[in-house]
Amino acid sequence: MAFTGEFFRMDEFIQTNGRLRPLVMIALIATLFLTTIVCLTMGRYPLLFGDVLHGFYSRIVGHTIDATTYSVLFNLRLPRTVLAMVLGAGLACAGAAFQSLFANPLATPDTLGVTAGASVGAVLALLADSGMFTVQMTALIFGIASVMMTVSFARIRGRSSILMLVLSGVIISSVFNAIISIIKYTCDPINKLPQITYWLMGSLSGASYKSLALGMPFIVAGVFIITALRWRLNILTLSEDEAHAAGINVQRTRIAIVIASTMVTASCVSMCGQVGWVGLLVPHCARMICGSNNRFVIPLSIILGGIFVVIIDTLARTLTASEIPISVLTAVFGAPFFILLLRKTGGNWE
Amino acid sequence: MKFEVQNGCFAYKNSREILKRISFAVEEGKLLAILGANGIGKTTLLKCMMGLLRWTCGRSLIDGKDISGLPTQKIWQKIAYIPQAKLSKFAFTGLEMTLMGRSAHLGAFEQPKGKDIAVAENALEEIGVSHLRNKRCNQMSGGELQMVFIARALAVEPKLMILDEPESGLDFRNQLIILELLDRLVHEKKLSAVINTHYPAHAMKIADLTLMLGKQGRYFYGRTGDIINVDNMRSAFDVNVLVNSVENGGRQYDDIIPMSVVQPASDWVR
Repeated sequence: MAFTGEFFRMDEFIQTNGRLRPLVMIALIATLFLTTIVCLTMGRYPLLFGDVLHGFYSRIVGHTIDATTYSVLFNLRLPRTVLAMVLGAGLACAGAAFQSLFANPLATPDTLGVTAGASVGAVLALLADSGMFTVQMTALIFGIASVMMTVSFARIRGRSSILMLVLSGVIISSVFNAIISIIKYTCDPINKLPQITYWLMGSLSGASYKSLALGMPFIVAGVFIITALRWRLNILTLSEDEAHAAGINVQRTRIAIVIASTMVTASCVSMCGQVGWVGLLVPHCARMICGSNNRFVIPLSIILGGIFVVIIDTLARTLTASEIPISVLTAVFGAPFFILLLRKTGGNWE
Repeated sequence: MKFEVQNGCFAYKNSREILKRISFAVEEGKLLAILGANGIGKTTLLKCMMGLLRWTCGRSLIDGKDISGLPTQKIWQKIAYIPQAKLSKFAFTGLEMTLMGRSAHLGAFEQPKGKDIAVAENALEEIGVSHLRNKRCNQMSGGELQMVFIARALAVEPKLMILDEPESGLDFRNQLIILELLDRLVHEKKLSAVINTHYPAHAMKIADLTLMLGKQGRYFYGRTGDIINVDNMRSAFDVNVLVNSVENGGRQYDDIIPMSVVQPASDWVR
């Protein structure tokens, strides 16, 4: 056990011999599933815990169940909850990856301008009435372009400080957000404007198996790449020379991480709009639990992110009669929490 | 392993050459100290010799083979580099930090295995800092952090260690601990080491060889006892020194005492 005499260290508790304790992983995944099932019961048409389990059971063994329950559970809530889980896992994972990549605890898809850039791409594609796949692709291209711009503006004589990176992210974000404003200002106010505005605020209400099938592979692939490279992320947090001296191909690793993280972000944006805070908040919570080792931070972020967004989205659809945009809720929960975190650490992360 | 530099020159883009035709060799069980004034190019020399910066002419050799022709991963399985101690923004524990030394031995998608963890733990043990295993790096003192960096370098299982001012900024005791540790690693464990230092006395204490960078790209290289003398110190540092030797308990202690600055200070002071 991890009692060091004077205080209890969570990070020592959850690992054994440099690996995550299997029990911890099982407990986390169990929590994720439990949360998901509880959230599936909630909504305008209330279901019981048993209804949900019975529904799944019947589906698997091929029994028929009450048509309304079936429709609510499998056509409405399940795709949406799965989307929430994937979205949370993806955004948290991308956030953690960006933070290590730039050795900057404030780097997230939002602060680096990736979200805003990908949004412009997606909005342009939406304007052109393109299909989901085109929306994904343009979002990805604009996302990568924006992170490249942020990085190149922040880089002075081959190095970029935390401050420069965040500032240049703010600039890039505001330029892309201005472009979105112009598009909104000039677009068709009857059909397009409400669609774009509502989409930008973030909503998972459009979830269907079809959109999941289109967007999920990108997110899963990105998360998979980041997870596979997670130990290397530790090395990228060191100084440039140390990373090279660690004998890894620094450039290639960086590019792989940027593409993977941007792919995840762009795909999330094109499915659900701008859902802020997840990429900042969740990895910080994960680090509070398990320390800085990305071998643990990444899997923990993925699961915690899934749990967080499943809960937030359930609140978004059940708190009031009409749906609350999800970015409103992540900000309402995220901002106070982050202020607490900042006050506690005084900016001296961990 | 024999590490050599032949006729190394270096200039940053659009500026004059700062390293001119530098040649030296470090053999197994030898420690080379690099001395020189601030901004003269000591760190640049280290980076060039390991290939982190590219020589504008000349080359570095490992056992007679030009390193620019070797796969980078192979080079970093033999050389461990410890830059000037700088804290990561992320609070890794001593063991996690030490374990990063294993990366040149692992594939891109590999996680460190039990064997790697054992190597890292041995490295901490070897230099007597096992107690830092679970301590977070951002809560360590400068001395502790430097010890963890040395453990990380040992976890590489290198033939050559390159250290950039390993004892800078440490207190009297920690300086001595680091120097004696390097002395032991090189002269008993038969590693080779190259260190940058601001202290000629430290070079006199542990270095077999000294390379002193002087003005206009000139340098002095040879056995430490021959290189650190009144004339060379005056030429390279513009300082008048007294080289002294005291005996205590049957052991000889060399010392160097700065006496006065050579006037006027010339334009190379940066």
